[in-house]
Amino acid sequence: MDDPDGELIRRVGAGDTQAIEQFVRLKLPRMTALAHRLLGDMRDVEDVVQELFVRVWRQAPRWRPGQARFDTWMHRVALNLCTDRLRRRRELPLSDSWDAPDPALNADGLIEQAERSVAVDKALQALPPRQREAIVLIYYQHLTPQEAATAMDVGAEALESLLARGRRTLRAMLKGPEL
Amino acid sequence: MRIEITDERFREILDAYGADPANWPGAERAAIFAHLRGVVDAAVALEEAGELDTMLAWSMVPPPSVALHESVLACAPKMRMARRVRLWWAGLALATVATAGAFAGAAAASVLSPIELPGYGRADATAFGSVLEAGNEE
Repeated sequence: MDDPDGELIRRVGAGDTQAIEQFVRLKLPRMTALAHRLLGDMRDVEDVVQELFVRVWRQAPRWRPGQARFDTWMHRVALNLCTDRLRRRRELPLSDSWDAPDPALNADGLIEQAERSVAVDKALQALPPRQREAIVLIYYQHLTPQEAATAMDVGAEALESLLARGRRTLRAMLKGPEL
Repeated sequence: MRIEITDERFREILDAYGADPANWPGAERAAIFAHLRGVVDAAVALEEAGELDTMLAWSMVPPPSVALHESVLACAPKMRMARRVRLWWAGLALATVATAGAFAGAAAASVLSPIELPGYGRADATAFGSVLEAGNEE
């Protein structure tokens, strides 16, 4: 499998300080955004990202290219760390069912970009976790369907089902006269 | 292998992946485009799917903090080692300077003749001279 990060990871694993700095510049914003969208606020984001990179530094020297992309592996680890964090917060809903829309989303004044962003983030947080993961991986992390399915450890059909249900819920929550 | 896209599959793809072709499954993308050309109401379906894509794009996240960037770099093993090596060299340089200073001091002391202090080495010597001599003077 062709991995666009393959050479960079090899150099990171060999301890090339320039490669390490380049890798952090490249991946840190992407992984911070992922953790932020999955966890919802900054309280736990930095802890999760820090832990993710500790694992990256451990994994890089023994990474064997060809099985999966390193980026996909990173996403899988990040998803697991975020899930653990959410579980510890006891925020996991009991079932993967539809959640009621947040009435605050229809409040007046959601016209500025920042407010719209907050509204979208709230809607994302209201999704069941697996639907949220699927949406975030495809729309924000721009993983291919195959990569997202691998990161989530599901099949292509299950991914599509999660995406479709997630989109339906989001549309119901976000589509309003104020938005 | 040529892939055919049915109306149902086209709908499924829009429902799951939205209107942005970049998000569509790569293997089906060309067939979806071909399907688009033959379906009159495809544009409407695309537009509907695109509305949610637009709303999702409103989401902004803050960039990582400088502190997080620094701490992530600091825990990279080779960066830690590089810092240790820098510290080791700094320590070595400090030790070298200190040793050279000590040698220079010792060498200077051995070259210069000792200062003769009045009464130094005598049993009756004080910091102010010989007690006996002082008494004798009275």
